[in-house]
Amino acid sequence: MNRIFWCLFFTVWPIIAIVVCAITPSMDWGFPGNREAATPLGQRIDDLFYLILGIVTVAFIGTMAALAYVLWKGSKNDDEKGWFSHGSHNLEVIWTIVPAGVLLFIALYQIDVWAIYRVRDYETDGGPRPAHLVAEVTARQFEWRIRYPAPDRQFKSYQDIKDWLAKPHAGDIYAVNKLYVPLNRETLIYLKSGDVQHSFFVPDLRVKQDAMPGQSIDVWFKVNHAGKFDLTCAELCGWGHYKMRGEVEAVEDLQAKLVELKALQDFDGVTPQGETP
Amino acid sequence: MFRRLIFALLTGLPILTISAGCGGPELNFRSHEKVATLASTVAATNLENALEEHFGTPNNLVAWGTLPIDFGELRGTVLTADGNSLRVKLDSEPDGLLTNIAAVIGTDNPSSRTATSYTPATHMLELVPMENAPPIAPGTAIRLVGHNLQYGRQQYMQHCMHCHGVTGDGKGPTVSTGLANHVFKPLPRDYRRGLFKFTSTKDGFLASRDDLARTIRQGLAGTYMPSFLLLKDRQVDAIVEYVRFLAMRGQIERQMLVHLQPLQRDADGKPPADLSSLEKELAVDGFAEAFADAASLVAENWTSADDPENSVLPTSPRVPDTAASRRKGRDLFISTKINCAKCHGEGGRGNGGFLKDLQKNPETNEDYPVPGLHDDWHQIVTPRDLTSGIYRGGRRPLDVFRRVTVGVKATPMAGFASVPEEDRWHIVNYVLSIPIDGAFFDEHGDQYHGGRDPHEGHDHSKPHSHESARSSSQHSANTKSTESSGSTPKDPDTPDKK
Repeated sequence: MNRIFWCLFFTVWPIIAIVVCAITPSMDWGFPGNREAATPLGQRIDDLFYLILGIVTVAFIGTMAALAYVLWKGSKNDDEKGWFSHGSHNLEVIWTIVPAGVLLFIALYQIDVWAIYRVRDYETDGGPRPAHLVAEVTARQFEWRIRYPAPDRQFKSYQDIKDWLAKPHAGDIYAVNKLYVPLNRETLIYLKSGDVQHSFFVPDLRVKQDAMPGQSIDVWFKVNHAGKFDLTCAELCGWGHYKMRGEVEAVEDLQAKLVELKALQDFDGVTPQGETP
Repeated sequence: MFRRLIFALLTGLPILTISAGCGGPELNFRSHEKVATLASTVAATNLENALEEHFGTPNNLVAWGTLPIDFGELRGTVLTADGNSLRVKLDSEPDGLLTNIAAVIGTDNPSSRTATSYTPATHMLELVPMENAPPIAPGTAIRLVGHNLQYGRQQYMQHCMHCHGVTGDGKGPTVSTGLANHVFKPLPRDYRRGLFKFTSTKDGFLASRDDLARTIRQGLAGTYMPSFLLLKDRQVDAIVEYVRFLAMRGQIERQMLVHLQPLQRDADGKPPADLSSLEKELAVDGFAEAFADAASLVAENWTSADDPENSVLPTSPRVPDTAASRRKGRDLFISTKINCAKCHGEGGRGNGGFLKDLQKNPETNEDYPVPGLHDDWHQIVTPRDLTSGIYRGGRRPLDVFRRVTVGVKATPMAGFASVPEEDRWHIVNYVLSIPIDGAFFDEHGDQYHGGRDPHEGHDHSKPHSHESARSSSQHSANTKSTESSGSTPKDPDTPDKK
């Protein structure tokens, strides 16, 4: 009786693992919104995730199945006496080298994604490509304050960006909690914190970056799905952490959107909105 | 032994957390502090009862028709009536189950009943049994009143109560846990006086619905009032109604405390000499009338706040934002007539000399213990640092124009509605330019670019950047017209020192 229990116990786990993997997509247990990432880099991050999930699944199911097999086989054999092994040098070499090889493969295979995420967009002068600049986002308790450069402002060098970040400029557009980004174009934002540590997290874009007090941190991504994406704070930043609900929207024509926002901001109560006085 | 200890910890911890204040908030409106100091218990009881009768409790709100509040009304007809269970057909169905709302039955001679619940799925309305209730015939018109206020209450409890409190007295759990002195500057608004700082309405008028909605959506930059931009319109509108409801309740309570003032104990805690006659006069015979008067006054004030007539709107468009206009704005900023610099400082840093003076408390007519400006809640307020680029009431030229015109309500920031509109636009242009180009002008009449002021060892012979050199040449063309108009630039030699 006891034998059967343990045989079943170790057989049932690989079966559960296969069932859970199979029903995950239909149960919405996968990635946010159960859809693919809305950025090309996010899709590659997902691919890495699935690769690791695959390796782990094969290893887990294989080990459990082997264990179950051995148990079933042994449980039916009442005649032979068990023997005690003092180790096998060959086997130990194999199960050391195989996992090491797998880990090494993962380590090398993911380098490219990380490089694109954090390094590759840097130009030779040590800063990210200036033309991609979209906005400065300041996280504060408990909201996201956003500043866009004037729609006609050109950024040619990293120095231009640094100048712009250093202080307010004429024509800057201010917004809160809603960030517009261009569709199918590189987006560069600078992340600041007005008080404590926050984290800019857009699950659908697979973008997550901490905002640190006293630092301007560059974050870049390219959205290739039109739509609105939840922006949340992923760093417990105070009692109102949950209030930091924002939204990132990818729009076809960011320039037109900024002109529209500018017209709202320049409203003087008399001149029809959209005309400059 | 060890196992027993762990077991005790495991069971003890949840009990400890529950008893240590993880329960819900208090579910009553809190009375004003001065109700407790009334010498007459009759007066205090009458006031509390009257408020409860007309406003209810947070879980049992009352929709009082006198008040200009959109309580939410669903119209329909009775299909079948079985005692206190009615099947009704409504013109529009609510989103979910309604509980504890008012049902007005009939049109010619309507009877008000309280409904315990209305279930949209089954269209069943359950009334609270009432003695001698007239029978309800099928086909009778019916109105369900109060669902919007209830929805507002629910949203308020979720998003606002934490700081502003159940009663709207600005003493929510977050504030009373001791964070107040460190974090909340300014303190969360106490609605009970009906005063809101940033409004679009003229001097002396309360806030309009749009003003409150704008504050909820945009937040107050630079304060701990965050933006709730992503709430749906329906949520914001319901919260606005509930905030107005709380404000009206507080205002009427306050008005009644003024009416009952003779019944207050004096400084030594002694009741007034002729307590019984005063009590009869104020708290018994004259009470209902005074309460009705207070309510109608409050209702009138809130109605007029939404009247477009009372909104501040310029008649002329913004004056083009030229160097000459900013220059005129600067001259007005430091002029003796308007003298923004008195509080905001010569450099606009919010450090004017007036802040060093002791101010009088208008209620006691005695000096406040510490120098500085105080708002109507007797809290220290600092004039805005205009170099920061943060505008609590909004950064649109219209918003700044409104601040210059009517000031910031309930604070010492006065409005300058008497100043010609064009001059107010000059001030707006100047104020909006300070964070970008600095508050000061040099001896050539050029604004110091990059926000530098003359005390930072600025070298006039060299432009500090390419951009600034370019705009300086533009400015010099404009400056000539300023000089010809006769205003001489004042060199801010020793700003902020008087």
